[in-house]
Amino acid sequence: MERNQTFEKVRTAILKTSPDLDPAEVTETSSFQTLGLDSLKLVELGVWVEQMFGEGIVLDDWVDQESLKGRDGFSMASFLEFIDRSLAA
Amino acid sequence: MSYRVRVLSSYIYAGDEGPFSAMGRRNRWFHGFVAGLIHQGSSLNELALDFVQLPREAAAVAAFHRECLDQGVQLAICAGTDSIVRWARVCREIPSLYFGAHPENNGLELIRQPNVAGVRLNLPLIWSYRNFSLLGELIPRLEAVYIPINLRSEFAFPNVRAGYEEFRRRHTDFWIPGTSGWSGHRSVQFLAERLGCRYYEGPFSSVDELLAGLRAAPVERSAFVGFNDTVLMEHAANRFREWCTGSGAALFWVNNWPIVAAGGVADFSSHFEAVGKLLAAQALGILRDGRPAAEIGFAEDPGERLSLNLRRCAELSLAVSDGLRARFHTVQA
Repeated sequence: MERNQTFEKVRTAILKTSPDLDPAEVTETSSFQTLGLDSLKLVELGVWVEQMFGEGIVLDDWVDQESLKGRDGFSMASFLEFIDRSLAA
Repeated sequence: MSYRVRVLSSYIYAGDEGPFSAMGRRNRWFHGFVAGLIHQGSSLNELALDFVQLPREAAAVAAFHRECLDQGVQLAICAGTDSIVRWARVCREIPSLYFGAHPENNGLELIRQPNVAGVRLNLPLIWSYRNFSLLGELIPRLEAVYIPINLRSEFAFPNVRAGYEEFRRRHTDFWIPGTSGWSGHRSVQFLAERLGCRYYEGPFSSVDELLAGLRAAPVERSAFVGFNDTVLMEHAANRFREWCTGSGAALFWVNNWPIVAAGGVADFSSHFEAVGKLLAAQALGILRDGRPAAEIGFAEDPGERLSLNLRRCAELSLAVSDGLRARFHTVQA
């Protein structure tokens, strides 16, 4: 799947999770923290992402990985890369 | 407008780092719960949801209950038997859902309380001989099964606790044989007899007492089994796991799937994702459809998920045949 297709799906999932977000705020350079995606929202995002990409995308694995990165964690770029990698596996 | 919901759990420990620290929040039942909301055309956006570690002391639970009433909480969800037992003692007004197991049906009378509904769970390891016998298949010439019991949790029901106190009055041994009249879970003794091994229960009130008891047990040809109640004592689960890792003991757990990634041999869990989906439907029945909890009632256990750690099996020289592997839903290499 092309990166922009992945991004569009992720954007749809994020807007389903947080319908009050301005779609223009969700970009490939967004950070999940600035989008206000807290741990509960991340669980819901994980469910939507599983529905859209299949059960091979285990969000918990990404959360574990990002939690170790401190302030640099939870970027959209990293999330897209994680999905691409999971789909390729 | 959002529905005001509190998730009450005894399993949230801010200071207990390790695979169990997030069990109250980020886990399979909650994932299933959210998936269930979405499946029913709802989402977390419809709920104003707070996770709360339910206080241990009765007075603090009562104070928290008054707070919930003042705040107009519309639904409490209790993650586990320990929290519903303590919560239901004080709460008769707020509809309360829970999922939990009742060994030997102890404490099951609370399902008669009109504001309580939920999902009744089995304890997969001791619910069937088919599962219990996996201990014997994994450990050749298994001689004994040891189960610590946390006396500071609600799983030490009054009748079970009375038996333990009587045993302690008469004996100095930490481990109570399943053949004793003071053992708390007689059905497990029957399972052990059928498997051809001995069975022991070890009631403990502190982590130090648990560790002293573990050190008194032989490691060879033994299975050590943790249950939910041990997770309820802060640090106990991690110390138990560390002791097993350090001493080469075979550690099993019931309803604690992170133990497999953390070095346990196997876990025998309920199917918590399915539990969460059932709870979501029940929650929406109460919140959206205005049905009373008494009408929602109880769902049957939706199944089990068994996990095996092949690496730990290899470390302990436990041979795992393909047939044995196939008995587990998740096998970690």
